[in-house]
Amino acid sequence: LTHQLLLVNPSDADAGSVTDAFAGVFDTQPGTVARSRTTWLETADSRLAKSGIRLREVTIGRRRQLFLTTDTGVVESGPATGLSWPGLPAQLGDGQLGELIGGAAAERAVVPACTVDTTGTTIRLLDRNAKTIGTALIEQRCLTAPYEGTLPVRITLTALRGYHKELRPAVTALLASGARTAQWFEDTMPEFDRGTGWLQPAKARVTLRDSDPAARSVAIVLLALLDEIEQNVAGTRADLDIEFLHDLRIAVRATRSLLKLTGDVLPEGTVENFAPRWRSVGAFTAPTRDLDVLDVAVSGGDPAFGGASAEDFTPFREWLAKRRRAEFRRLSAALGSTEFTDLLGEWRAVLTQAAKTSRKARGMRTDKLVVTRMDKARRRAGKLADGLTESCPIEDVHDLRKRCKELRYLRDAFLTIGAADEHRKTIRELKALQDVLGEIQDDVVLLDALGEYAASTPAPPVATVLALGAVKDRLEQRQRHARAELPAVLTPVTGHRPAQSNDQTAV
Amino acid sequence: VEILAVYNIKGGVGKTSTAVNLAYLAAQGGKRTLLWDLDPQAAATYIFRVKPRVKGGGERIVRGRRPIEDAIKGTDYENLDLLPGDFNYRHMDLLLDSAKKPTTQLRRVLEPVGNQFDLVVLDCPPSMSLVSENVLRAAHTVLVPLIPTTLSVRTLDQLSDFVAGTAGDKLRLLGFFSMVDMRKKLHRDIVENLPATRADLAKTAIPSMSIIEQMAARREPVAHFAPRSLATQRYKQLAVEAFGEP
Repeated sequence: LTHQLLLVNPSDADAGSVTDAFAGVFDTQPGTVARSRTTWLETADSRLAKSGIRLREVTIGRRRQLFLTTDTGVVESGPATGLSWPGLPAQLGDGQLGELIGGAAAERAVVPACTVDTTGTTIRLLDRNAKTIGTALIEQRCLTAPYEGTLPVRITLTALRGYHKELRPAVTALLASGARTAQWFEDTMPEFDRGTGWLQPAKARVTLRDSDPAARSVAIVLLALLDEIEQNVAGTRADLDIEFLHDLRIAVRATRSLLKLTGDVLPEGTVENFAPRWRSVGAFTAPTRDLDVLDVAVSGGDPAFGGASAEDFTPFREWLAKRRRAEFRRLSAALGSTEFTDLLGEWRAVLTQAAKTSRKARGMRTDKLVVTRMDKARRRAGKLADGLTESCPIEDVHDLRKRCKELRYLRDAFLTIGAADEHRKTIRELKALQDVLGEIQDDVVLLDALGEYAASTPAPPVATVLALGAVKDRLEQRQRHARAELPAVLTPVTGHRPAQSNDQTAV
Repeated sequence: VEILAVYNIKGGVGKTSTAVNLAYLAAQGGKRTLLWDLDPQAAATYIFRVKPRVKGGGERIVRGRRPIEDAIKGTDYENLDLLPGDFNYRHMDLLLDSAKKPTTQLRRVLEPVGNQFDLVVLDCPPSMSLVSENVLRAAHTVLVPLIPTTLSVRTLDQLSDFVAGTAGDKLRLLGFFSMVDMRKKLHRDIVENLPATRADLAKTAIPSMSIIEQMAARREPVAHFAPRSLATQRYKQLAVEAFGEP
């Protein structure tokens, strides 16, 4: 019933100057002034934007409201009272908003990306009979932390019913005063979804050339990983969600793998100096992550676990949570320590220097480095795969998994070097293998934890014991299946067919 | 949608003042309200500062050749829209007479906007005509402003008979005393005694006050420019009797 126009005045306009623009066209009457605060919300890895969702919280007085819009034009809203950000989507409950945000963000915390404070002044536009024909809402907007600055004034013209035509001169008057249409503003808003505080900027594309010196390429790749590590430290220490630590650990593992497989091309002493320090980071970040994985495994209950409900696992989860609190304190302290800060600083200095290596510098070329190190890593994995049998110790499976991970990190890091199609195929195969190996490993960790829980808890509830028993049976069964799947996923990656053992399916 | 008509055969009894203020109070109370100024004099339209002209002419609206929505104008007040009066409405009887079902045309015209409003207030012209019959068939409640005289009570009786012969018992007829001058003994006697004896008379009486007459000069509902006045209080009470809490 109303007709709206969005205009942006590029100058530092205020309500007075906008009113001046209508002089001689309409009489104006000052109206209400209202203040509001709009906060755009996103996950650290922009999951909402990737799912076509834009989420805003609007506060007017004491009223807080969430507004969600999708690319398909769906608009949902609901009260935001009692919600806090950063926060997990679970706090939204089971409604439509909770389903949409939870579906897109999953386990990631939703965090404030950008906040705009708005002072809206409404003026009435009157015709010659002093009849209101429409209103102009003049919004002066300021970005608050983490950004600071003034946004262009936004003017929204709304015609009263039956007065669309009469309002047209208002548009003309505004355009003549330097305002312009605001489509670009709407297009620009998603930019605020990224790049602040907890949020990671879009990953810089690393450009490598086959002919570049290997030292330069390795340093560039490791610098990108260092960015990734640094971007996840704050979120991990604030414990916003478990994915910050997960992403941090992946970057640390990739750093360690590349340092091991290609670090020799970096300046002398680099591997000796940094490999043990990064190993230490890997070690102090592991326990918390392991406990997170365990909790996720049993948090929803699982029909596959003998129909056990989520409540049956509550005592076990409480036990896990207690351990996690202790581990997390250690993790947070380590990430805030001088040793860790020094490591980041020194590592960046070394890599920055190496990345400056001239493209014409002598030494091993990047393509040669990739080919030789891939071969070496593949051979090493193949050798381990040869030794695997259905009954081999779990440590052997774990070793193979680590070697495969190294292979994958290497391939991931130098994706643009050599034949892209072949790389993608290798990565697909490695992913399939790692899934199987990872499942085996996760099961073992869970089984160990269940054993520890049983040993440390004198009298757990009967339902919990039964549920954990069902889990144990199920895990052992899954392990057998996973080991049986190994040959199919192992051969394409290592080129080796696993050994047969007593006429049984070999792994 | 509830349809409330303010109607009397006589002119100058406070129909427009009542229609304007009740529509305003309903809108203030949150009801999405449409005021249709059916009077060719377009006094309600004037008070709301709207041009007394229906785009394309009232004839096309009544004949259904133009959607009623196109002619509706927003007022300066939230929730309150106006279908302006038009001098051409003086021919409405002829227009209605030439239609297929001449006595139900207004109801038909209002149907398309029924879901946009909670309340439609009809400010009717003073006559006993085909327009009146249309109003009585369209409305759920007819408010009849009466100046407290012996003859005015006779008017209410005449209207009751007319309603019984047209709209049957589906229509609620509610008279109320308007332009009451408590300095006059006759007014006092009638206002104090008659409502108790008749169920079709409202308990609320609207006094004769200069502040109500100022509406035309200020071009605003009295309930807007004098919200604490006695007149506004009385209109609020009348609104409660007419359609519940405004």
